[in-house]
Amino acid sequence: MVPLLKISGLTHYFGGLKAVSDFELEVEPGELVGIIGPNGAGKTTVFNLVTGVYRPTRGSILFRDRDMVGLAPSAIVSMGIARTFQTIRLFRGLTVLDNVRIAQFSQVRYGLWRGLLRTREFLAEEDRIREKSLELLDVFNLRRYALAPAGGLPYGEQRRLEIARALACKPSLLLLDEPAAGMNPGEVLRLMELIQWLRKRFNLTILLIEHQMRVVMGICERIKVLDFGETIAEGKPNEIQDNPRVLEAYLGKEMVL
Amino acid sequence: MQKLTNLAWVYVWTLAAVFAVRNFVYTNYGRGVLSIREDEVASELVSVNTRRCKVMAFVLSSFLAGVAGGLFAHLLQFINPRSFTILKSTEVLVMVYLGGTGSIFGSILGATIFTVLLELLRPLEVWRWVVGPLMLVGLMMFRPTGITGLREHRWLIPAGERSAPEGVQRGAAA
Repeated sequence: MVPLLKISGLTHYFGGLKAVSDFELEVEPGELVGIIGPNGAGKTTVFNLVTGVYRPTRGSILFRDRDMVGLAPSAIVSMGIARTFQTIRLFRGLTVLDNVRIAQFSQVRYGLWRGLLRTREFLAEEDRIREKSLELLDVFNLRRYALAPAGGLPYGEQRRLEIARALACKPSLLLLDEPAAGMNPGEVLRLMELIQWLRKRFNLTILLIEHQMRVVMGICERIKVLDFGETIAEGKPNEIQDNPRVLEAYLGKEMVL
Repeated sequence: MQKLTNLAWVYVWTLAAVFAVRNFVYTNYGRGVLSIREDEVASELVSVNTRRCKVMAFVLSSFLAGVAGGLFAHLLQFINPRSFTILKSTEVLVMVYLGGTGSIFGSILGATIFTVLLELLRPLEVWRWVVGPLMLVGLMMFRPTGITGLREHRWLIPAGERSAPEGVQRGAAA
C-alpha cells in the first residue's frame, strides 16, 4: 500500500541554525502518529514545512504520491492536509460561523459574477455551505455561539473551534499542533477522547505534536521523538517510555539513573 | 460638447456600486478578504487562496475607481493628473476611517460628512486643506474604527445573513 504521507530527508535551516535534520516519516492511512520532543526540537517546523509555510532546504514531501514542496499553503490544504496552531489563530473579529465558512473556501463552486448578482445557483451554494458549517458546529457543540465573535469564546471552546475550522477544509490528514496546550488534566482527558472519536467519524489520519508525554502515550500508535532537529527515537509508546535517549532529552543526562 | 455627467447618472452608479460591494462582501471572496484582514497566514492555512482574493478585491476597486474617474471627467470636462495628489488620497482615507472601517454604511456616512464639512469650511481658505490630514491623525489616535466601528447597517446585510439559524443565541457574547 502507498503511504498517505511520505517525508524523506527533510532538512531545514534558519540561517545557520539546523531546525530539522534528515527527518523521515511514513504515515499509513488511518494511523495516529505522535511527534514529541522538548521545546525548540523542530516539531512545529516540520508542520510548517508540510503545510508549505516554509520551503524546505532539502528533502521531499509526498502526499498521495504527489510532491508538495513548492506549493502554496492554500493549495496544499485544498488537497487534504489541514492543521491547527500551537497558539490559537482564529479570526477573532469574525463570527464563529464565518470562521468555519471561510475554511470551505476551496469547496465553493460559484464564480465572482454569480456572487455579485446573487443568482439562484449562488444562493443554493451559500445555503449548502451554511448548513454544512452548522452541522460541523453541532459536532463540537458550538452551534449556539454561531453568531458570536470567535475572539469572545472561552479558551477551551476556541481550541475546539480551531479543530472544527480545520475539519471544514475536508482533510484526510489532520495535523494537530499541541492541542492540549494550556488545558487542565480533565480537559486533556476529554480532548483525547474527542480526537479518538473524530478520527473514526471523519476517517482521519492524524499527526499529533505534543509536549506532554501523557497525552501522546495514551492515544498514539507510533511516536517519533525529536531533539535539536534530530530524530532520536521512534516506536510504540511503551518502547519510547524506557528509551534512555528520550529520558535524556527530557530530563538531562544526570537524571538518568 | 454637452456635459454627460448629471445627478441622475451619479445616483445610479452610486447605487450600483453600493450594491456590488455589498454583494461582494457576502461571497466566498468577500469572506476571504475579511479573513486576510484578521490573519493572512491563517487564511492560507485554511485553504483561502489569498492571492486570488486580493486580485478580485483589487479588480472590483479598480473598476469602481474607473467609473468615478469617468464621471469626474465628464463633469469637469477637463482632466489633469494634478487633480489626484497625495491630498486626494488622504481625503479618501479620511472618509473611510471617519465613517468606520469594515462597514459599507460607514464609508457612505464618512464620505458624506467629510464632503459637507469641507464645503462648510470654505471661509478658512487654504487652511481647509489641513483639516483632512489632521482628522486622520486624530481618528487614528482616538477612534481607529471610526463612527460605525466594524458594524454594518442592517439594510446593507442580505436577508439570508441577517436571520439567526435555529438554536443560535442572538448576540451571544459567549
